[in-house]
Amino acid sequence: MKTSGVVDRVITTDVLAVGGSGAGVTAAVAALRSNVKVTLVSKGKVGNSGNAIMAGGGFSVDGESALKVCGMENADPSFTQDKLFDYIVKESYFISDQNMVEQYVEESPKVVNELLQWGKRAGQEFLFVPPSTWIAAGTCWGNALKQGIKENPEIEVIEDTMIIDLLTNNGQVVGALGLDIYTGELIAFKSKAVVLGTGGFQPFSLKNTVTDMTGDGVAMAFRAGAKLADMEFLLAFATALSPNEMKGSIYPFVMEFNMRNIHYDVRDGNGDLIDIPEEIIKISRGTKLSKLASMYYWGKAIAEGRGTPNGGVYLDYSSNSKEELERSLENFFQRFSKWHRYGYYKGEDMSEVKRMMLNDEWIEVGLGFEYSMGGILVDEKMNTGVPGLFAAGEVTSGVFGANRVRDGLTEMLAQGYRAGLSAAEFVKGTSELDIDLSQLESIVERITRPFAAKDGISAIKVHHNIEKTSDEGFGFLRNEAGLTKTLNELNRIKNEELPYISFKNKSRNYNYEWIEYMQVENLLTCVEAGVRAALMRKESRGCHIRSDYPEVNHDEWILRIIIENEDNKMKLTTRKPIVTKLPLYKGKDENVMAYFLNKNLGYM
Amino acid sequence: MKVKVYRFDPSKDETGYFDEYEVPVPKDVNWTVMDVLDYILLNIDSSISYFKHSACYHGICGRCVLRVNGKPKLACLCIANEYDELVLEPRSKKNVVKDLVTKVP
Repeated sequence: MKTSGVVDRVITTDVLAVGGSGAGVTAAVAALRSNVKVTLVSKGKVGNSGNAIMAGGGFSVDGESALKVCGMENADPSFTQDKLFDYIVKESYFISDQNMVEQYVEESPKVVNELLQWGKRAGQEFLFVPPSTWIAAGTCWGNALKQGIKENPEIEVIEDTMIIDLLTNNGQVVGALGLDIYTGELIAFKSKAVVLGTGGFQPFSLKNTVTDMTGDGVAMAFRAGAKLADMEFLLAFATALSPNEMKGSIYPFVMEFNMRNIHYDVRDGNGDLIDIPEEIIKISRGTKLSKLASMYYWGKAIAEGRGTPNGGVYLDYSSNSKEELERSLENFFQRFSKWHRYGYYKGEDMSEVKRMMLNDEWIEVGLGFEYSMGGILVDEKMNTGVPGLFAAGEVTSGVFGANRVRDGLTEMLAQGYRAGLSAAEFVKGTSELDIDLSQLESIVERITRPFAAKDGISAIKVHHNIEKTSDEGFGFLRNEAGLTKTLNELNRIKNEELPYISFKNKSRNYNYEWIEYMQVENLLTCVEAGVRAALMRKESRGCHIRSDYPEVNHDEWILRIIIENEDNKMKLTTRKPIVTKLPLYKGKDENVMAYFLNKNLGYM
Repeated sequence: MKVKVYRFDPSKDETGYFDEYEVPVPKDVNWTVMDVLDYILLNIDSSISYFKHSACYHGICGRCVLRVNGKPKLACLCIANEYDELVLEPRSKKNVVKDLVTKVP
């Protein structure tokens, strides 16, 4: 193949797994066990990139499997697979394709158990909490995944390399183009199948993800002809605004999760209480449903202009006795000293937070975005519909529909392993196709254009502009006018900024302007898809909350919005979610939280 | 606050040098060194290189190590307000990829 002068290197493999976290690693391991050649490429370091390392809570399977598959003797088998299935579908507001939920429920225990074994051999402590959850620090998942790769040395690992675009020949994926971030070299990966496990997209300024969440995989799959779904649904939750140096830390939520005896009041920017119904507090505090509850109640106050100076709310712990607070903080620090320095959460010193709580000072927190439910539309075998292309984990439109309460960490493992098996099976039945040199050249031309451009706009600025307009119109409380304004601004950025990006830094080695240029193109695709879907969905559902359509309208809107590329325009269609067991819900609910309280749902 | 940033691009420079920036670190609110670098990148000079891909910002990944006034620190944890001025240099000048970025094996 004649690629000299176009790329610096060519790497040939059978299955290219993309992503250095749970989806990519399990896909690579599964494919290797199917006896094909596997290359794993990661934007950062394997096991030290992606959002798993940011995780604060835990992951779970059903209770029966926790006992029988994972050998946890104190697991509660009465929390059955059927119950877990029922929870996920209801928490998704019936948007989940139920065949996907079945795959998650049935196939996750074995992969979760393997991850736990890798973790054990890597000296990582996963703390089991009945009925069926393991709590750990984010790095435990990362270190377990590293162990998995170490035990499978036949997997070729390439790190700090960003995959830029998929290579296709006659509509079939035949590899991908990558950038070695440190050297600036372009690498053509020639492969018979590609698995994307690259994570989600976060277009907002306040987030608790790693810096890589620019929807690279989602956007490149879309360019290659894959369909997207559920792009309007993004999950946010209590995230630190104070102290400022800890901005983006998830300690407020992790404290709630681990200090369930501690009460707090939520106050707006004027210090007035934000009214949250007692029954909502009862069903959500200390559980992951608390994320949606805060999006709804805090989000409303913030959007109405009652937020704090930094656009959040205050948490007031003063109703607890000092003894109770001290004891609970002590327990919290003790528990987490398994993984972090005592008195720290992750790498950060918690002493200022402790001081504020014990002095009855209010803690300013915001709604930081964590997870995108939407992404590449896949089936239960992780096929994307594009021959040779498979996807797993947050990059997909997944199992969680309109709202995630269960575990992204479990999803990435269950789907990753399955995607690896599917990719290997595809490899065995396909003949080798060449890279289309003219496509490769046109991609290289597109991504290197700004090196020669002069006096343009910086890609860093463009990223900032995307975040600003996403915050304004696409955040936690939406309406027609705001979404339309954001869509117009995104169009302006696409037409008036993206083509005029130039680099001040002209050399290719570690050029963050270059990385950002490719990231903002991807992020723009994702957020445009999200805003278009949010405009189309004239109701509220899960994490899509509209002030002009607060009602959840099951009779008309239990539909997935599917987005496809038609002549470089986004074409939106809808279809009913796939049903395998639980009939689609009927009726209406006053708002997204009233949905959970409705006795007809039988959630409680 | 006066911030000196070490600049060296082995693909074109013979030796390293410093660029100096004035960054409005507030008196009453703490900024990390990462906040300072992000401010320069967005508002003053988009050409500076520091570890920013796959970055966690909370002392988890441990990859944003650099020297702050001579001492090795994580940019995401080091409080800029504790200094009168900042001199930012790579962890080691032997294997600089660009500016503050060093190749870690």
